[in-house]
Amino acid sequence: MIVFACLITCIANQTMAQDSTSCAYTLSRDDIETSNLQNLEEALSILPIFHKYIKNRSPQISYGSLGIDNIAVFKDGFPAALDQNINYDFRSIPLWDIDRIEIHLTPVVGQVKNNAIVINLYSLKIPEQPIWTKLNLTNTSSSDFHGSFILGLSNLTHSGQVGISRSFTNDLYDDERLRSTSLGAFERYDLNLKYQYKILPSVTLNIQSDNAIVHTQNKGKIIPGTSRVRDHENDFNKHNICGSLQLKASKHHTLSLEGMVHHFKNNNTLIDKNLNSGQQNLSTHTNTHPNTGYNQGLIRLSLKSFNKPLEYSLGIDLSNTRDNTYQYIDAISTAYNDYTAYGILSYKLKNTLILHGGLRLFHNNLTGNFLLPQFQIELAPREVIQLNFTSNTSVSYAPFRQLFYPTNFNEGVRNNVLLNPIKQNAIHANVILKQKNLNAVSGLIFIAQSDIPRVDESNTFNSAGKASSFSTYASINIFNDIVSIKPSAMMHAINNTRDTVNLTFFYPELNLNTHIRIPNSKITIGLNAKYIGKHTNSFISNNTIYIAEQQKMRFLSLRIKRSFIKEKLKISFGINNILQTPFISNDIYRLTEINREFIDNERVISGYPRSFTFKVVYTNP
Amino acid sequence: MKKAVYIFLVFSITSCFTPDEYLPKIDSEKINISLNSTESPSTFIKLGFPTGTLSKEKSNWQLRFENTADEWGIYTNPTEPIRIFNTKINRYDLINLSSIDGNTIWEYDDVKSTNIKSAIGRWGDFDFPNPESYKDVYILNWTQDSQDYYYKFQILDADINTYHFKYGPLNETSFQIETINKQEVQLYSYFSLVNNEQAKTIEPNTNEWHIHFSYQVDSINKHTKIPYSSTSNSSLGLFPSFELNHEHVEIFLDTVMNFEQINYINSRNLTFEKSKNSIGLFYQKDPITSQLQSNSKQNLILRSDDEYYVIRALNIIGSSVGNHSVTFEIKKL
Repeated sequence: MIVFACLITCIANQTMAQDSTSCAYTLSRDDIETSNLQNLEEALSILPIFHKYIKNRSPQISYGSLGIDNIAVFKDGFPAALDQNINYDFRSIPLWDIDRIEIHLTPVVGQVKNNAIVINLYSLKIPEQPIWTKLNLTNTSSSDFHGSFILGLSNLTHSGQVGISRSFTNDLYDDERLRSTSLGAFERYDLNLKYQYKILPSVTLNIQSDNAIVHTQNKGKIIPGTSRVRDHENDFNKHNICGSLQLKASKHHTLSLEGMVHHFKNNNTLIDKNLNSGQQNLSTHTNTHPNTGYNQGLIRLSLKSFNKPLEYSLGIDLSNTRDNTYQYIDAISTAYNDYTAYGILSYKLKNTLILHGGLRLFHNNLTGNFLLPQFQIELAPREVIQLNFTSNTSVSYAPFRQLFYPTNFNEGVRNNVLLNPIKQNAIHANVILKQKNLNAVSGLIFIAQSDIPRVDESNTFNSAGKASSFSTYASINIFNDIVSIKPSAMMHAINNTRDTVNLTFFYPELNLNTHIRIPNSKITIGLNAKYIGKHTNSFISNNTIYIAEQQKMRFLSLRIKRSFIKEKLKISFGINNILQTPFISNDIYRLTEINREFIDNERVISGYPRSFTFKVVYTNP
Repeated sequence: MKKAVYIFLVFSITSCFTPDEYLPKIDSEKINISLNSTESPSTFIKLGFPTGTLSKEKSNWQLRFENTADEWGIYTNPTEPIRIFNTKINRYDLINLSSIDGNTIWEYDDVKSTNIKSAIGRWGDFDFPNPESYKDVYILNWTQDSQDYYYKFQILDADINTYHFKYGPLNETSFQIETINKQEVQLYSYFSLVNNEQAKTIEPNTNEWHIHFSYQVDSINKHTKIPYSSTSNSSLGLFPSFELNHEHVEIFLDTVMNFEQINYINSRNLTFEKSKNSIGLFYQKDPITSQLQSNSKQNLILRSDDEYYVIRALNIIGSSVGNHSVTFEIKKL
């Protein structure tokens, strides 16, 4: 793609040490509202570069050969979904308190080990008002409801914010005449807290806590000849608390101590119901979705220097990820620890060159030590045309179940606690054009992955897989006080089975985000669109290579918004997923020696069908 | 701010999970099965929605061999009184009519509560991957169309999926050697000693039936309360019975709950067991008129691949066990 939005804003608001050139795309608050996005999983459908569909009620999210568990997700600088190798439910990350979402391609950072691509969520700042409230209500023609209420208090020394929310998304049916849902209705309750204490002018304490309960009801089909059904219910509860203590040690130095505790449980239950007698009971049938739950503890100490021309960032990072459901499964271990030390240097040579370079040394108690270098060169950083080149090496862990869980959790395949982390070597180059009312960026990114878990001949996972992704992108951002138009185009190439057959598949992607304010009318019109062409991919199952060919996807949302009462009240009306077909076909082929053989035609879900949205936002003062 | 809170609370309850719809009770299914001991003594049913039935005509076979892996039972045709004498002699050629004398102990397949003890019994050592036959020679005797038949039979050996045996008329020196391969798709392989061939259309494939209604020869003294039809042997009766596809079906006999009360939720925690057969479960005699009656208090609950069914006999039409029809009520739970 990539739309290059507000680079300067990116820099100003970053809570992590990420370079400006890596910020490839920003989904603004207006974009989030135009597309009626309620949680991160929905946003990943709209966010450029990502490809998302739902198969067997499970979201499949990727960029090229990188699954979402290889892509870091942060909220206000803290991991939003643990190490992500644990099937985190991204519906539990709400967007009602999010100001913007940024995608960073190959950022030069210290703390993150899986930084080939990083998604950053930034929450709304606490306004410096004695008291303020924000009410947000959304109703849709699909009988969805999303409401949130935020109360903030501040006396400049102490600032606090409490946000509560309820979100309900209705079922999706393949056939409305049948009882069984393709996607069950789900309800989420959130309680998000933020507190900031300016202890001294140079010392600030920030604490925030996100809590969510997501309940999903997947309705089963009526068992022929009976009045009985078997429903699948899922309860995902997460609680995290994170805090940072920032000390401005000198004019150019900041010392930070950060910590986080994150806990979640993901419980699945099968319920047998007799719809004639009303009797219901927990099913004794084996649940194909096992319960899971993990805890993560994280502590960081970092020192940042903003001296010119040499800036640096040093730190250590300790993390522990632990299974809280099957603590004694397989009698080996269900936890791992990371100890990371990093140093990033940035040297600026007048206005012609900035060099970033860094090393991360991290030790994982299961797999040993890793040294991850990264390097970036920015040419003419303050000129109209800027050139950038980045190279970095990052890692992400194999899925937790493949490391620790027994065969019945892994479709009969044996775990391997010694699986190497998946390595990502990324190269990214781009050209940035900066004018008064126009930004443009064009570039290419190549990511080669190795040590991907594959099933070997002894039916055990081992680190043998290789894959690669390549994208070339171009985007423009034309903006003034009235209009903002951000079109972008990309061509992606994926090779998921580089270790076995060298099959590369291409697919195009187009995005358009536009907001137009009609002068003297208090009316704003927004448009978000995304198009993904026919998506072909290869994968390996039971040592056989398959090809999946998926139909194109189209997303188009429109919104018209009007302000009232001095911008306090905003009422908007929108249409979402105008061109969307909720179900698309996914043809599966088996690769033979001379050709490909058709195996199956699956129907997968690309998104929800068209709906009308009515939204009211009231802010006081 | 108060207004905002009220509005939030009011709107919060507007969209919710839809409650489950009420569904009318599904009527149970009724099927009719006719059994005739001389013409069509055998009906297979496949439980489902709807239940399928398959009636079979009487056929001529004497022995059936178990096909299930690791099971090596050899049984006689349950609709005929076939008696067996184990000579305990290995020399096939030495066995003839003179081997039968006053001390000969004949045995019939012995019906137990959930099983049948084969008259041939344990014919080898099964502690090996390939059973080792004791090579005992058995004498078989039965009457068919007023003619007495005497045959001798010897299991030679067996391997993982094959029976290998020798047989022939008792008073003749000629013999046949036959091999039967275990057919995984059927529970038993059937063999006719008289016709020198396997009978292949006796039983449908195992995934095509759950219950097999038929007859079973057994001692009259053992089942005093169950009606029967007489046989050529005055001490043996032909009892109505059924066999279960024990590879796919487990059962629980409920004599406490009413048929109407039995449902999935109270049945799924019952202790189900594997059973091969049962005699006279649904039958009784009116103590006054001695008429054949259904015993509708016997509710047989069956579990097959996480599907549950309950079956009972509603009524029986016909004056004799040898020729009657039964209406069964079947409910899928």
